[in-house]
Amino acid sequence: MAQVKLEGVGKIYPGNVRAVKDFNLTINDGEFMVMVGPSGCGKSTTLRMVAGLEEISEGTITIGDRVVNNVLPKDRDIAMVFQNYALYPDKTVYENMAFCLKMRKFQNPNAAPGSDGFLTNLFSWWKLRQLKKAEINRRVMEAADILGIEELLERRPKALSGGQRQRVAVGRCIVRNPKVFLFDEPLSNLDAKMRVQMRTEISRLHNRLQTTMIYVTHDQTEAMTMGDRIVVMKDGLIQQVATPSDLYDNPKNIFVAGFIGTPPMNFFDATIESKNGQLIVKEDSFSLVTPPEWKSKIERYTGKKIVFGVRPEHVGSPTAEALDNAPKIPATVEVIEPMGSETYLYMKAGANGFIARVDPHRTCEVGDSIDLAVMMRSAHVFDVDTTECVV
Amino acid sequence: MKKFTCRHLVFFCLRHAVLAGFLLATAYPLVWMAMTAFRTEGDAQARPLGLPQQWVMTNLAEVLRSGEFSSAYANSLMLCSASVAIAVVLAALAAFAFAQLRFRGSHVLFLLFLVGMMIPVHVTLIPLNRLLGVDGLGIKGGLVALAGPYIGFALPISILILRGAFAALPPDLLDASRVDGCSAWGVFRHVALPLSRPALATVVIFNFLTMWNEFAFALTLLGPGCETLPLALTRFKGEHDIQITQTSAALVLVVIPLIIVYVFAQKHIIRGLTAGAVKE
Ligand SMILES: Nc1ncnc2c1ncn2[C@@H]1O[C@H](COP(=O)(O)OP(=O)(O)OP(=O)(O)O)[C@@H](O)[C@H]1O
Ligand SMILES: [Mg+2]
Repeated sequence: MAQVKLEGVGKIYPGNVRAVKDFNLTINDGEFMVMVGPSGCGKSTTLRMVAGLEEISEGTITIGDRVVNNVLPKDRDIAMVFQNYALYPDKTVYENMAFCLKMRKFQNPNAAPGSDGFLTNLFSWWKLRQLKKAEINRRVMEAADILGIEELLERRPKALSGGQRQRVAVGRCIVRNPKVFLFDEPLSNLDAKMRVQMRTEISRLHNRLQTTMIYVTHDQTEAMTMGDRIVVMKDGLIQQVATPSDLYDNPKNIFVAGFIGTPPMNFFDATIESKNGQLIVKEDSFSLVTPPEWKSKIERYTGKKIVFGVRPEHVGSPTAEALDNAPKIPATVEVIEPMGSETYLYMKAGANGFIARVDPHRTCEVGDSIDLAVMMRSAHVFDVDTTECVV
Repeated sequence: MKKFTCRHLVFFCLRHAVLAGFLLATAYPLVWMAMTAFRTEGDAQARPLGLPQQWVMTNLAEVLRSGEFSSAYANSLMLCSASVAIAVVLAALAAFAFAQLRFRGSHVLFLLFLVGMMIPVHVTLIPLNRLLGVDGLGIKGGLVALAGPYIGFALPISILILRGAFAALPPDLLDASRVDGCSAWGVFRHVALPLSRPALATVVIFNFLTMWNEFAFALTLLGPGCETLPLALTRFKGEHDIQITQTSAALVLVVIPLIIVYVFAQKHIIRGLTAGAVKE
């Protein structure tokens, strides 16, 4: 178990491709850290630098209290699960899991120091071998038990389903009892149902082992459900590091706000205007009175363009509708998507389309013009130039 | 299943006729050679084609009794197996470096190896004679003198084939083994080699065949009293005639190791050996 610390880490690939820039992050001991971001944002590159599979161009990476910049992967005491499992095809499941232990030196805990005579040496060497074999066997069996793959141990990877292969790949890491677990999109090759199941299994594994884990994914649902904390990346830069709920409620910029949450946050190009001493968000088809506590933060945008963002569940939802004198957006229903527990309305307000998550029992039809209440205190205002969240 | 039509039947017959013809053309010389090996000399002169009138072992016995042939046989076996083993080990190490390790000048070095494939054997005969002769290393005349050129000429093609195989290994698999605790040597030994068995088998077969049949170096670099099989075979040819039955008997013996090597090595050429390693 160990803390992982990245300080000013950068990666420059040949051809002057900057895949990762000025990456600063401290992952606490035992933490489940998820790195999420769109394809090509440098998640894998960062993870592979931690693993030692990719040279570190700039900065330092520390695992535990050792700077590992120039340490080989085999000596970093990390384990990694790959997207395509990467099992040894010529080895059985048992051998796959035992391989990393075989590659390691085994210290006999009660070996007598000092040696005399060839035969004594030979004997202790043989004894050590037996001890190592027994220890490997114990650990593989334990891991197999945790993952429920005991009956697969004699098979080869070819004869396994995707989910089973992924379990073996995880098992290969568990037997090592490493300082840090690294996962690079381990579930993206599985079907939807298997993915959900493995997701909870990995979470459970983390609860059980309490080992530091770094988990890379481009699936924000995985990120939200599994992570203690989440790193959102874009174009090689960290956008925000926060707990899932903090990330959801207080996104730092438009990118994070739009990336986290399904359906995504609705954005409107609007202006701030002052009217009767109140600041309002003004758009062609609606104007929304802002809460008084926003005043200090958005006053300087008066008369200027901003981006107004509000999540679907904060427009027209039962809680929003129950508010007293909540401002409303008049809009036309274009598509109705009943999900059972909730209904998504695809609305049109002027030139803008947006999504509202409403009470499933609300009756409306396509083409209806309705007013939807907005929970202003949960909405956000973003600076157009910096895309930073203002409130 | 598709309906079996007249057209299918015609194609079936045609295809098998072609294959049968090919088989006949390939197998007949071998069969003829084997049959001739067990004929009497008179029978071979009178009716060279049909089955032997009488099966005799005298030709084989005669060939084996001549000490020169037996010692040439032993020489060839020793020389070829040792040379193949050394060449394959060296080629595998070099190919792995070219395929998986990044180092300065790797491209130029690899090109140099490839250039080696374009050197005709005969161009090197005189320089080699001088290099290995009394003025040079002084090992000309013995088997050791042959091993060098054999290994040298085997390397380029072997490296080319093996490099292709090593470069095609799934990169994640190699990364996984690095994380699992392998050094570069460990990756080579425990992952790359076992997964490249088909390519290794190809290289073994190819090199063994080439060395077993090699004539030019053997003729020029070996001294009196030290022969390999291709040289020994020429002894059956007199000035005016060929002892056809004894030559055939000798050839039967010469072919056996080739067949053994082939059967042994091709067992390892199992396609799709890497299937299931990574999800495509
Ligand atoms: N070997 C390489 N040489 C040059 N550029 C590379 C190399 N590997 C990756 N890159 C570039 O670095 C950037 C980051 O790649 P990386 O694989 O880390 O992305 P990612 O976030 O893991 O994406 P994905 O979700 O698709 O896996 C990409 O723009 C990619 O083109
Ligand atoms: Mg990736």
